[in-house]
Amino acid sequence: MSAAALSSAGRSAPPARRRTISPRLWKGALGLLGVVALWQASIPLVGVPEYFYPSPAGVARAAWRLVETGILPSYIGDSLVRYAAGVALGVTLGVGLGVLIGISARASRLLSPIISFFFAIVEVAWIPLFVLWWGYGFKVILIALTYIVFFPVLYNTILGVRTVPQVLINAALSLGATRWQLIQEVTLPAALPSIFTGLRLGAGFAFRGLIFSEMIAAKSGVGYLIFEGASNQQTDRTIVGMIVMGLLWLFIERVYIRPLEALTVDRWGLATRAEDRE
Amino acid sequence: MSASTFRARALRIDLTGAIPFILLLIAWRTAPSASGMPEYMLPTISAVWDKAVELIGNGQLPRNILDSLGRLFFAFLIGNALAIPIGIAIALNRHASDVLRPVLTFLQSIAGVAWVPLAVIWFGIGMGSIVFVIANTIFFSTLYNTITGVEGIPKVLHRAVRSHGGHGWQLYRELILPGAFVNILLGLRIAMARGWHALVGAEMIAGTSGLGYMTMEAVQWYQSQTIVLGMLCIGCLWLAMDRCIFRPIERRTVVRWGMLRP
Amino acid sequence: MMRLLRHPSVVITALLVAGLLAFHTWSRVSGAAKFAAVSGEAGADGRLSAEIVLNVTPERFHIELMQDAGRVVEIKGRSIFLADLPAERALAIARNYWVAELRRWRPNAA
Repeated sequence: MSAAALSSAGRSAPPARRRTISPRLWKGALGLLGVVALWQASIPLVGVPEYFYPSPAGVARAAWRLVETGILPSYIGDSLVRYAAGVALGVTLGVGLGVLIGISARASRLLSPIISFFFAIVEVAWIPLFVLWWGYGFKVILIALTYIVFFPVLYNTILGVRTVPQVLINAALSLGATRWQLIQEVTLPAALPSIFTGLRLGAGFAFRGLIFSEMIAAKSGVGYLIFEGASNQQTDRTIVGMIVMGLLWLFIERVYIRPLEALTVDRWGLATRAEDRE
Repeated sequence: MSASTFRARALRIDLTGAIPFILLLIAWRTAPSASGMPEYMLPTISAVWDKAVELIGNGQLPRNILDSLGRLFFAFLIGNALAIPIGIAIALNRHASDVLRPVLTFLQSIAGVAWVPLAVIWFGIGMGSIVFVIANTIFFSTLYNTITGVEGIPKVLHRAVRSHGGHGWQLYRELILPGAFVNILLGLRIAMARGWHALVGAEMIAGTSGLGYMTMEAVQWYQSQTIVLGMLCIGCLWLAMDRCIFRPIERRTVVRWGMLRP
Repeated sequence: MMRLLRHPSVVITALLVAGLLAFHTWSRVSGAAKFAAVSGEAGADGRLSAEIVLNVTPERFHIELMQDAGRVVEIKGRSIFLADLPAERALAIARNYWVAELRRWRPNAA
């Protein structure tokens, strides 16, 4: 059972094609292999030092060495902990404040302007000040990630809460729902697809933010690996870091974020995917 | 979209919204002395103002802003000039699209600041590496939106144009460019936003000038006035670009054609 | 509910968690075994000296980790010689898979 489930993990292929490997899949694999082959073949042609233009073989060796020494697993662990903490905090704050602003006109009038103001100061710009306040380390990264995730989640939560059909609210109220019940039973479920759209956007921005803030303000993590490799002329390690970063993000996106979004869209029949909103 | 509906409400003249700002300003004035925060950590408003006057006076601030904007503009041109034709070509050829998609998805997932260290090795610190990183960011952002745009054109329309004898260049002019235009245009705004983030980030890591460099460099000297000034400039410039360039373009084209509500 | 449990994401997560748990158990067991060699060394203050032999030539990553735990006296080949190392930190170090063994060692100066 698990094998069958795993094979269909990537995208929702029509059930009839599930048994055979789809042409798309092997063509895509061909493309990836082709790129690596071209890269390896270009090494003797370019003829520059290994540190300037590492070969795939060199990168593979560096990757193995990083695993052997325990550096890569430890860095990946650090990065994921930071990421999870930042996203969780950002989502909690974003949804909480979003519901408040969405249902209360007074809160909206009070808070909207200042939120727009802070939204305009992108998180990258905060990082120097954070570093000045708290030095390098977990705190700066956590706050930067929370900041990044907060806004897309907040705006999409507000949107979701405000577009809950009035009929549903009236129905719940006429059945004698209290304000708190209304939020729990009607508002939140109805706003959920929108919240997940926000989460998907925020999670994507936050992942890049994670790598960036680790480059600037950390002594471990995948971003640090990318940065440190280059400054020690271990360019192969930089490339290992970039590949790991890409794989990690694709894993998070395909295994967690997309299914989460698909789940709510299926269940509530509301198509609010960010990509195909046309 | 979500931000704009929100904005429209926010813009209504209403003094309630000013309360948090006033509280913020009060906190800014009183917090440092009350909590014993050293002055180098949070500058006073007047110190920021003095710094702004000083840096404008000696030409540093305008030069850094121009450097940043110049790089962004340059990279925006390169990235889009490559991404739009390549995107159309890939989207029109099913085999190419199938073969390249995983590669592009992967490259897109690492596009951005992650390239800065490698770019520094290739192009040295400064202009070259930063333009490379921003162009790379913008390229993948626009490429993705171009491919989605072209692939989103209903197949029926392809057949319709063909059956009326349209082919070659006509096909592009009459169907593909207009059909994918909305997506490309919306994509440009997203690409610019991503490019701006990446620009500031890249300047912080590997710049020799520019707003990001100015802000990060100030950390070394504990010059919080310059940091806050840099933050304000980064925020205001982005708002200005978004509101004065991309919103009007979107309003004039996409919204007018009824393809997207503002 | 059953359908949700069989969702690929849930299955993948379960496999990952199972794998991590298995790995964690293994490193606890092997860590205890490696630590046994020096466990009798701890003095009255619960600190000990030891030679940590790695599977690889130590890099800055390892040295910084050791510096954080105790006082690095010498680095020779694959060995890092540590003094003033609290016993529980020694056990934590022993749990890392890149640590081959812990050996008895007494700084001659002391």
